[in-house]
Amino acid sequence: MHVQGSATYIDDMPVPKGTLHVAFALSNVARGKINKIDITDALKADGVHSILLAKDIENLYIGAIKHDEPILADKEVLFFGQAIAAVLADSHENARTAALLITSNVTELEAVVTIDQAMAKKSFLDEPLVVSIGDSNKAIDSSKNKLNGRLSIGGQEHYYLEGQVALAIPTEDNEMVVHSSTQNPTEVQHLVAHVLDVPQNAIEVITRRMGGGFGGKETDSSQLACVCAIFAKQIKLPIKARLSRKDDMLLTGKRHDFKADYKVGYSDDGKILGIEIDLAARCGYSLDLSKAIVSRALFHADNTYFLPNATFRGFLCKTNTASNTAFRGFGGPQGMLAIENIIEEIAMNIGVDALEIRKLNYYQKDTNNVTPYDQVVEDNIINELSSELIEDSNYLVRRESIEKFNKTSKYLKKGLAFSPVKFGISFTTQLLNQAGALVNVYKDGSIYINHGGTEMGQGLFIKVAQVVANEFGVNLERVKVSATSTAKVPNTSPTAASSGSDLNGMAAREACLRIKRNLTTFAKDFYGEGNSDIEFKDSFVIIGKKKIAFDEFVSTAYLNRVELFSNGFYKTPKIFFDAVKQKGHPFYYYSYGACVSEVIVDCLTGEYKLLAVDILHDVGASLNPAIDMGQIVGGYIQGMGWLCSEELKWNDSGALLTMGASTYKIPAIGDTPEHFEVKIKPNISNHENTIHKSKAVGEPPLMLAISAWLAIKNAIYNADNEMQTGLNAPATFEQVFFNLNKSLK
Amino acid sequence: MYFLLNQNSTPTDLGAINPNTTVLEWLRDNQLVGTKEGCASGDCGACTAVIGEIVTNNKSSNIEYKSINTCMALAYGLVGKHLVTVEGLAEEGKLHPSQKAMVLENGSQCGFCTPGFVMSLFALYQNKNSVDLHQINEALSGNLCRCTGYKPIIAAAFSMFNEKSDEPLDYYKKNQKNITKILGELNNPKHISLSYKKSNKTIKYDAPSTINELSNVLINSTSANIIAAGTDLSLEITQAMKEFSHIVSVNQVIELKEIKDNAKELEIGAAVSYEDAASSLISNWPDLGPFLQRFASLPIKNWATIGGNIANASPIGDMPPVLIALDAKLKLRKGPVSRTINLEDFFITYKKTVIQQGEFIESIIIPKPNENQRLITHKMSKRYEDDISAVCMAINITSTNNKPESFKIAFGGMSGIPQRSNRLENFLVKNWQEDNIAALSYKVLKEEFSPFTDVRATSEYRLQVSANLIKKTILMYQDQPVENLAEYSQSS
Repeated sequence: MHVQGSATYIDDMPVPKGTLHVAFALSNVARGKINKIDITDALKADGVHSILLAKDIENLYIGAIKHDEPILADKEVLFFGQAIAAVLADSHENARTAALLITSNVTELEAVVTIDQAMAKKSFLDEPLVVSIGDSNKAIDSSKNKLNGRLSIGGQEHYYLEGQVALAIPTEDNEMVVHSSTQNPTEVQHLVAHVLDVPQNAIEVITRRMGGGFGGKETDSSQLACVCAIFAKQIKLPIKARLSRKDDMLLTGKRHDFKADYKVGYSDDGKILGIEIDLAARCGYSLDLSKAIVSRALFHADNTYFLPNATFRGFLCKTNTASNTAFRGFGGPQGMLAIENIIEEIAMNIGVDALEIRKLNYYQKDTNNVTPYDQVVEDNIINELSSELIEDSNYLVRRESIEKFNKTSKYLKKGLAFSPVKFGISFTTQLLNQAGALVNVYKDGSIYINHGGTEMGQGLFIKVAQVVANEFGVNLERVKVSATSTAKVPNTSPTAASSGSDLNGMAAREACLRIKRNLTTFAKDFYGEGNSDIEFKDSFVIIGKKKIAFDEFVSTAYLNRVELFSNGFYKTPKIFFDAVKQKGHPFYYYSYGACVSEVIVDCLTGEYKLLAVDILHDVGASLNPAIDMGQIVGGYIQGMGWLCSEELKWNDSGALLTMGASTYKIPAIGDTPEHFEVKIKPNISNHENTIHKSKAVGEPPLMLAISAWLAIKNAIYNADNEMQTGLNAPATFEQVFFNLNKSLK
Repeated sequence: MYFLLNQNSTPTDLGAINPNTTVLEWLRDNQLVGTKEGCASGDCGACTAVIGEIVTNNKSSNIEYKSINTCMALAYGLVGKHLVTVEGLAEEGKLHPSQKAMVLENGSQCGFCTPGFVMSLFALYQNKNSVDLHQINEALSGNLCRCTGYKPIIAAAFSMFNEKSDEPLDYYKKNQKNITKILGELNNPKHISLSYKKSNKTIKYDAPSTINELSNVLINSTSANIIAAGTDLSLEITQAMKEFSHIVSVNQVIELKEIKDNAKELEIGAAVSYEDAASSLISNWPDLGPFLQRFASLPIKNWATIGGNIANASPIGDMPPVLIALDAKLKLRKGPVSRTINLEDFFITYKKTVIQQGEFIESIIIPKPNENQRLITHKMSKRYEDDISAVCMAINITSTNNKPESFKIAFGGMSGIPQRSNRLENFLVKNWQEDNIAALSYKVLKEEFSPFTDVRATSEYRLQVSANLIKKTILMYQDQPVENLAEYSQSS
């Protein structure tokens, strides 16, 4: 369907007759008091129906955790690009044209734009979070070798190819169907019900597919859906809204940028004795998911390393910028980059290959296996996985040949880096680790599934369909996964935290098992095979000596009044967490991976090229190797974009300057390394009882790309051994240039 | 206003549409929603479709298929052409080799960019029988994917050529004769002039077919906006929501589409696309090969014109610095009168040129290089593919006895206009052999330019990298081993 253009996204759906369209007028200051919003000209523009302002909305505030986000700016503007009015018109174009005619009189106030400004003014959304073990202060003090520094870590625009879009269709009796491109239909449902002041059962949210999400549609889809719903309720017509790329980039949150201030004490051979990292995140004007994101950053600042004395502090900086939100990795990548940078710095100071420092500090199996948040790492495979990759990628030989190359090449220098990944799987908010599914078997033997997960390209629907097909021993073709609907499975969690197939796969399996129990009871009785086993295999049902085609069997069961549908429910076992102490067992298990990246840098221009990438990644017993491979490769390149070319820039007064594809550069085809070897770790299974012993794969591979950034850092170091590079992320060509050309003037 | 759509056997009427309508809008309004809007600014390629046009070479007529960004092309530009969209590839339910390969290689995840990729692959399939990585990268340089990391798509681009058969596997190759016939009948070169009534406004559209018609239209209109490809101008429509009241397309003007190549000079009509000009440019100035590769994405090069790049007068257009360094002249025309000026005198200040009301660019005239000349060009941007320059630099070096005798240097991105640097030219004549040439050049550049800091680069980077590029240029001139990483390959 995809390749024929026949897969339908919300903007492709034929809209009901009379559908009107919404566009936002956006603020052009970062912070200020609204004196007046002038809509006179806009109201006169072609095709305009009406214009909505904050004062017209009764339940104005929405939000994921805290209702602190006005659907439209109310009395004050809190970030550049905030929606101040919503125009309704007969076409998307007319709505946008009119929105540009809206002017506002705003008394500008001093904005808090940067992390440093927020830290100085103590502008926070919540108390700092602290994860701590041992006595880091004492351990650093008594270390012979010490290092401290600061790393600036950039944010990232999601750049899902399909922008935010929603279509609200009023039905009867204040009920409404909302099509939303969202990872979180339940939250959209609940927020729409909230703003319309109707019970949740009056709203059905449907999500067939998204043209990419990556976390950007976990909470940021609600505003658009709510505005459509408000209009739809008012005028009883279908209402649609889609954001232009620019409006989408201005209005919605991004990956949090961080500043990491660190102190570390280490032994002569590079063993980390004590470490402190302050991770300050730019959260934007509202809370959104920032607390959980910063928390996850702290949980990943250890990565694969045993740190007996560690203090990680997380600061939730409140700034006058769009509210930063979930993005693949959810804070984990930032925490991990901080520690990987420190390891590299230690190696540079000692003058050894950073790989040695990594191996020296790794978590071990039976000792040195407690994380700073007290969870014991029970499933550690990083040591053997690393050895395997180092061998497969020919790392040591390549290190030597790079040294040789660099000796003879004056202007082009190569860099090589290895980096490991350990990523915790589960929502750190315990209650979200639950899922439901509904499985229907029809009389003709075809099967229909609905579950709480959403499809955004990650292949979840296929994986869940596989699980179901496997349970019933039938072909995948027999199984259909329907659009996600809040009317079929209620109170679902967002499709996030890489948990989609873990949770929904298990719930769907549970539903299958319940149906199979009904069928088994029936079959034993009906076919008179007593206590013999029943097997569902190759589209047949085998009962003792009898072998019956699945569809015939199901049809017979129906005639004998057997219930052929069931729900299923799953909640992740073993996890608990004390949010006050920041201690516990937040993750069901860990996913592991490692990567070797090689780059070449042009010292005259700061340009570089990624030459070779070797990856070995752990997905447990893969549910679908092709899909998992796609996630690994795609995750790497997306992570590489974050750390290399994707640069978000604001001006001093808080205006986002990179608000289009012409100024914000995600990787293009030529950025794909010519040598790109990706391997799923073979013959391995999850030691926890997950769906078919598989592991989550959505987020972890993104962090493999840290090796690309480290390789650039290594190349700069190779160009000039004397230099502490001070490389930040993203390592744009310009930044690399200034790291290499400090003395040109 | 007719064009041929997909596998239809009869032409399609565009209907009475606002001349400001883009091809993408037209398609989506007409239920052909496979073609997607990702950015509406020609940067992501989700809207890619393929245009077929009859090209006559040495008396034989062929259809040339090229990928374009439908979000930037105006719908009226389709008249007389063949448009192929993602809906038109499969034949009787059988997938096109490009589609089949994408499925087999798992080249699609969320699927939103997929139709655009498939169309770029389709165009590649029409134009080649086999490919290398370089050609794949160029063909897909205008398509962004956020999910797959491109690896499976590259694999698909290779493997779509694997299936061999005696008979073409593709509808368009199979039916080439018939399509050529239909297009031949459709392609009726005459002046199109129409107006569209919208509430109390009238919007006019002209597509003259000769230079005289064009000059007449322009001399008689005060509100005309000349549009060639519109890769910049259409952003006003799709981003700033502007509506032009009189659009004059120069794409049908025969004289503006011509390339004249003689011993003394190369004359390129203002409406010649980059892709069409590329071979003449590269054969005369080989250094322009890699430069044009980095210049823009293929769909942009297929559509955008050199005349447009100049008339637009953007300080970050990449061709003006090159042409200034090559001593190019512009032939301008107003009414019946032509005049010729040096390109470097064309630009006055930011986005202002000497062009007068009713005047237009007819052609660009570039003197042929002699064997003592070498052109070296550089482009600095955040990304190798499809990005706008932070700095663009072109240096034309004339040598005697293998030593530089004179330099002609022009920059983009360093000031409000594409600008020549006389000071640096004079300085280099005397000092090109100095060891610390970069540091010395930096001083000269700093005296001559105060570049802006913007989203693409800081002022300081623009100055310093330019100074280093001077050094790199000298090293290249001396055949020292310095390479441009954009083309670097470990395996070669």
